[in-house]
Amino acid sequence: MKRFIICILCTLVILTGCWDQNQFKNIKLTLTIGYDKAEEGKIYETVSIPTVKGSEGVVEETVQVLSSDARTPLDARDKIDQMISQSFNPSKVEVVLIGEELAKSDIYPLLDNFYRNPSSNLNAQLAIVEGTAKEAINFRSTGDTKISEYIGGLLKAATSSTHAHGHNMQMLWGEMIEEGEDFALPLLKVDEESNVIKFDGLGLMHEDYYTGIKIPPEQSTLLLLMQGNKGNVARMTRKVRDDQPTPILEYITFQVMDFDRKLKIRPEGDEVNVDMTLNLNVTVTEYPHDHLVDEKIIEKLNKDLSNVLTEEASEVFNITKEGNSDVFSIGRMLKAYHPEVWKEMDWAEDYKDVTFNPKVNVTIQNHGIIN
Amino acid sequence: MSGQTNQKISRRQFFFVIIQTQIGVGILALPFDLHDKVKQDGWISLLIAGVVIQLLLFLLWWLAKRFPSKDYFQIQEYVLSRWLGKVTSFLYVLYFCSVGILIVLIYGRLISIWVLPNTPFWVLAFMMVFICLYMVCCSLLVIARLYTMFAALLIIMVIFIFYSAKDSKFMYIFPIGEAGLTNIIAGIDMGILSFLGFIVALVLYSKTEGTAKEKLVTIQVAQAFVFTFYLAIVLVTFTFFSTQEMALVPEPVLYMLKSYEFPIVARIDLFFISTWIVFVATSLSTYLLMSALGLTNIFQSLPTKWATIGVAVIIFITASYMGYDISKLNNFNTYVKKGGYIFSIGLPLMVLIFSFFRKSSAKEGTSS
Repeated sequence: MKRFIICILCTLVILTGCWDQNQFKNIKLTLTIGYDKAEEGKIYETVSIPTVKGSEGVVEETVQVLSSDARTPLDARDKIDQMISQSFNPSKVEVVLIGEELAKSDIYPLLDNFYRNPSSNLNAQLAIVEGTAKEAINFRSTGDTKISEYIGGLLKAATSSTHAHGHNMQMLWGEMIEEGEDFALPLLKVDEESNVIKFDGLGLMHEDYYTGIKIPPEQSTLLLLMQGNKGNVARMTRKVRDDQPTPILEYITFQVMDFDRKLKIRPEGDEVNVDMTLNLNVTVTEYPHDHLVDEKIIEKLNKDLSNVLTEEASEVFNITKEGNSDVFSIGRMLKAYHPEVWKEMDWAEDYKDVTFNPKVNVTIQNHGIIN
Repeated sequence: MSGQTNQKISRRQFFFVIIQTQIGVGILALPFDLHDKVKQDGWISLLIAGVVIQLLLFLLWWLAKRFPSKDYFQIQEYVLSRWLGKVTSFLYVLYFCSVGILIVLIYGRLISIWVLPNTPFWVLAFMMVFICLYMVCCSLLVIARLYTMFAALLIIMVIFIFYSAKDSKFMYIFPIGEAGLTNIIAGIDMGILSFLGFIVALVLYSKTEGTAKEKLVTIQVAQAFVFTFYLAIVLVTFTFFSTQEMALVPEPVLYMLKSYEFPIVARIDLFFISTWIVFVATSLSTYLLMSALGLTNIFQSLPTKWATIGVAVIIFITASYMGYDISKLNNFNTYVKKGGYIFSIGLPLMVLIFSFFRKSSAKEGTSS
């Protein structure tokens, strides 16, 4: 009897694997998914599916790009499923691209299936493509890297050079649905001429749609620092001099070593004042004029850079106002620390009336190995 | 349980038995439940609930202290008279079984949603109940040792949770007090429910070594530990998820971990579930143990082994009958929660009050 029971139990334990096994040989993993706007309110989904063929030694990798229009993302997935020999599985998606036109309407419905499905990869990156996502996924670079690696690497590099946030889909979700908080998505652009895909700044979002207003790549670093984010490297080039024999001499390039940002919200009656102090400790990485030991020169550079960046900070803030995109979470902070003021506000309208007082202080601390 | 029944567990083991029973199936959903009722002020409710439970544990300890050599079922029989005592003991067995069923139901449902969508419920239920049956069929001492060993897994959980804290935004728990006092007080209910399982301290009190005072310290420290653990989870998830987002994720702890990817372990939420299963099993085992203990108290001639197997079979069959049916689960859940108040708080306090009319067995000397 005992032996009988043990036998049954053993078989049972082995059998349980059968219901939920998900074998790699039966599925095709897609690493990049793109969505575009199609006619009649439909969406157009494009996926790239790499397939590894060949046995030992000679391994050949082919990439298949498939598209289909459909009502919803999963509807499109079913349609694409009908075009390939195996079923395709998006649980390892690394990059999700959204075409500019589609991004201008609500993007949350596109992403719902990622948030809902337990096997999806929420660590994927989200980006907007100027033009269409299809174009980007169909893109063949001169090198033979996979498109997901290319775009994923591009975004990762943008994050580490403080041009993009690097927020994954999970982190964006909170910012998407929370009121008084908006976000910015990296913009990509296919450059046909030089045959590259390039990072083209940050697209400002309001609630869950793209406002069409963007922060250019040169200013995205400053925006990120103003938000309190810094990647591995934060490098900026700014003009500090006039009337030089050649224009190249007018510029200075520096790298932010560490920074400190303070954001203070002062509601005064109906008005919301935001004071921001941004202290940057920088290393000069390029300045052909040399003589960076003279305290006077350094003092002047500090002052000039501070002025230039303070002005630019105002400019960046005005761009976010233009897009009505509260990327600094001022609304949410207002709700958190001044709930009584928040209740009186209609943030969709009132963000534009926020007064922003930036103060950027630059301190040059290093100047490389020459003076 | 044969042979070693009389051997007592040490105070350290007692400590781990309490926390292993309390930390169980609920931790994944606890932040959501609190948030559902009280929004971002849920942690205040938890805080108050924690204090209330400490007071309550003091009263339960007082009751147990009066009859140091009797277990809780024997105390009931002594205080409430033989027959009434047997009836309440039987109700207790029913309650413990129901909690066991609830644990299996919630566990099965969660595993199905997150990991094994195609596996039938009875398989999941069977594996869980069988493992627990296997654990409980040893002596209490062995169980206690096991629980102590499993506590090492807590470290893994704590590491995961604190790792996610790096992305939390503190502003999400502000404004404090927005929910209003009434809601916060209503939310205490949710907090207390998360601590249920402390009744094990009363049931196993007489089977633990040490003086009354030492045991009180153990009980209170165990409770404080569980409370700190819960509070950490709640604060981390509340600051990780935005206020609106929290309303959409019924298992915030898992969801939070799902958004990270490590070089070797791509899905740490699955990793977390695996450790969580151990805590589910320990909770279920304790309830199984307590039910069997109650049954053997009522039917003196019943061997403990058969009592345990019987309870396990009942839990398995009832749970399988309900399966993935969400409305049945919800109904059942409400009843068991209400039962929690009666059996973990109401009845023990009543027994305490009645016990003042009875002579304390401590004064009688060792009677049982």
